[in-house]
Amino acid sequence: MEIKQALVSYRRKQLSFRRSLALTIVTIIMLTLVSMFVGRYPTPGFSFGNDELLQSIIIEIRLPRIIMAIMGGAMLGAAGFTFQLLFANPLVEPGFLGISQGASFGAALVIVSLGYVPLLVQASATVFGLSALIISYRLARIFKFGGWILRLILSGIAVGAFFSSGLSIIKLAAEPSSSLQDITFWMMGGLYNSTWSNIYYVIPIVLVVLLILIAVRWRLNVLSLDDRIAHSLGTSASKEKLVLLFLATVGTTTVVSVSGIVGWIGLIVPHIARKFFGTDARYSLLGSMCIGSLFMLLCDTIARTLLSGEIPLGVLTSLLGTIVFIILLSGKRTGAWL
Amino acid sequence: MNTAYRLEHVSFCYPEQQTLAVDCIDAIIPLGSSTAVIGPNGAGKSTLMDLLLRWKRATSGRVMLMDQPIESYSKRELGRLISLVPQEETARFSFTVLDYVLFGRSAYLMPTAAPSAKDIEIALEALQRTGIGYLAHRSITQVSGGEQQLVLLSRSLAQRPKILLLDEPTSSLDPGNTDRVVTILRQLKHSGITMLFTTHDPNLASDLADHIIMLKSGSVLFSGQTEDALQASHLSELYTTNMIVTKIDDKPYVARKLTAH
Repeated sequence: MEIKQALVSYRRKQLSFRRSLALTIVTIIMLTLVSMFVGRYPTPGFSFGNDELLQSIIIEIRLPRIIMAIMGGAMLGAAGFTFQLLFANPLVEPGFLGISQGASFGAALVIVSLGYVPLLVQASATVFGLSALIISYRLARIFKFGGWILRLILSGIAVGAFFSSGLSIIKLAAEPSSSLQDITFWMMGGLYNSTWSNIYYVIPIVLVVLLILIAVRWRLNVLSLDDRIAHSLGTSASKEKLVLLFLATVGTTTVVSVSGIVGWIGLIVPHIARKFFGTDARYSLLGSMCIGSLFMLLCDTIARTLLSGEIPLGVLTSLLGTIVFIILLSGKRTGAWL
Repeated sequence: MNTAYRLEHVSFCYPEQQTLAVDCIDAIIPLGSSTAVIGPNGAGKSTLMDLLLRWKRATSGRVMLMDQPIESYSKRELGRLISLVPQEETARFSFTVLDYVLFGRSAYLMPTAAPSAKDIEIALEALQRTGIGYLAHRSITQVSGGEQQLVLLSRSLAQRPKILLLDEPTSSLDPGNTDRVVTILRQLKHSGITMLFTTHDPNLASDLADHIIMLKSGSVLFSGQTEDALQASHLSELYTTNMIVTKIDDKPYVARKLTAH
């Protein structure tokens, strides 16, 4: 009898998480529709019409940007979530292993030496982001101080600082009127580069990574346990973690290569998701993706419509992210996540 | 096939250390038996557990699991045969107790699978067996230390192992909770599961174990039936202090001899 009751309330909880997910998805769709019709043409604000130019603006400019915001937000949310579970640390995000700094360095290197060639900037950001992950990982293996997580954090700090100083040197060498501006804008993040020709390769990579993460999402829970425990439960914890870490990094650098550095999504979104969708990754990973999409789409829509000039996206996400972070932290304690 | 484990000259040495943490151990753990590993701090008890779990691999010698080298099993197979109840576990995320117990089903699920209704039933049954069914929807970070130990035990039961390894199962518990855990372990023992636990409490060994392995400095000091092992002379040598043994309810009861001021 008691088992049946427990089963019923378990099902009820799952149903309510599913409802919240459906609600979030509906909100994303509604925001997408709104976002398609707001902009600065033909007049600032909301506009419909048979205007051919408006139609082509919507299809050629706004739509790829919206898709990039949805995919990018989902990817950054999912990657942050994955990192937090795999490192069993709720304060981790892809920036933490020096990945963002590595990607920035890679992008700046190309901008300075060859100018802003999108595909090359993207490739270089991905390669250097991945290198940062590998170097951090190797360094943590060599370190003789502290436990595994602490060693990873320390090596991440070192690798991050290394690439940051490299970036500063590149900035010194950059041409102030052209490449320095490109670098600075890229560092502040933005989706103004998201044209169809720039994002066609982002979509399949991000989709594949997201689908794999979605497929193994229950397993992510188990991998958040101590490696020895996860081993005793019959998983190949270290191998599985490495593969998932690699995927999350590739997904992140692919997005970052187009959007530049968009901070705070990977850190803050998983927390919000756990608050609304519970801790079980079966729901909170999906929640993280949806909230990430919603947050990035909202920020980007504000970024391109609020003022007459474009507000850098990274600035907005950081600003809104900080506010949400403070509200979350001063609210009722919901668990051991901090 | 009557042995759960057979250890053949098993040694283990930590990298960059001179001394062996486990030094040429031979032992047989019969199927369905209950074995206690006792010894002072640093005797090699935890290392031995890790070897039995294949979390560490013997530097020399062989660990045979069910008459086959332990290396010949896949991780999934190991996860279905052996389960570990750790001494304690820090939960970093606020999973529900039921979610946590469901993790015990991992070895039966493909990496891309999620627990089925059957798995959930098994987990709930395990929670009932340990008497904490009422905690199912509570957060793991909000249960007490005693309850957490029962959650970890439930997770292991949900794993449906043939062999249960327990790391100091009662060391952090008050007498009331110790009694709850011991009662459940006694029931498990009668159900035929092979049990092996480390402990600092010889009386827990007296209560639950058929065999005792006494470890000191990585080697076996004495190994045998519980009644034979729990002798004042053995215990005094093991712990390098004066121990006394009396009988309560026909079972050896061990105490440290108090020294006069």
